[in-house]
Amino acid sequence: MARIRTLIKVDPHVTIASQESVFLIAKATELFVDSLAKNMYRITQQQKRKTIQKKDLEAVIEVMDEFAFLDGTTE
Amino acid sequence: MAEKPEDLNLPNSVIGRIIKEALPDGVIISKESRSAISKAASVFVLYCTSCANNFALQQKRKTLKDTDVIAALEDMEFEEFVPLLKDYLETYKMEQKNKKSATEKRKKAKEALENSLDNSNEQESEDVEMKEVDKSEDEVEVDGPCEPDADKTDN
Repeated sequence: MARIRTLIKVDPHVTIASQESVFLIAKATELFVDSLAKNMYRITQQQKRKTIQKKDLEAVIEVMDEFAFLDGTTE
Repeated sequence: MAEKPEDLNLPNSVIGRIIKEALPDGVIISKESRSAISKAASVFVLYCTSCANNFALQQKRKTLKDTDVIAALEDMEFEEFVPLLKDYLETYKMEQKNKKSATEKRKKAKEALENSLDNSNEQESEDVEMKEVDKSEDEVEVDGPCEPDADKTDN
């Protein structure tokens, strides 16, 4: 949770964040990582590979709207 | 406080554990992908915070609230997370409440003990006995709530 707090403070527009909001962001990030990994694996399987590679992340970003905000971050 | 770029990443151990639990046994993930996911998670936090903060500002608030985060996630098209997150939040709130009341109980017990000690100070009692009572009072503080009457042995 401490690193989440550090990241939240990076935003200059944020004054204070309640404990509960920090908790929610932390939990949401866990769910996000889980979802991302699963979606990447779907691509890996489609291409009949056994190792998940970075290009699978790029494919997810391109294909799935909710991950579109990650566009450009993989460089 | 030097802020290296690595400090903005979430703990690798946590990210690694979540990835492992998300995937079936035996699936291999490249190191590069792992760190790409970690970076994506950091970007997610920043983006989510920013969205949530917009909701707070819209309502003329300076404090980011849990409802702002929920609204942000729905806006970001992660509404499937919301029901589970609400459950987690309820559990978290209860745990915080329990922690708080445990601390308050300990505080009250301490105050009650101090009050009973003040009463015994007004009467003349032997110094030795007083010291013993003081000592056990210290122990009681460390151990937590106890019966305030336990040490009234001076009469």
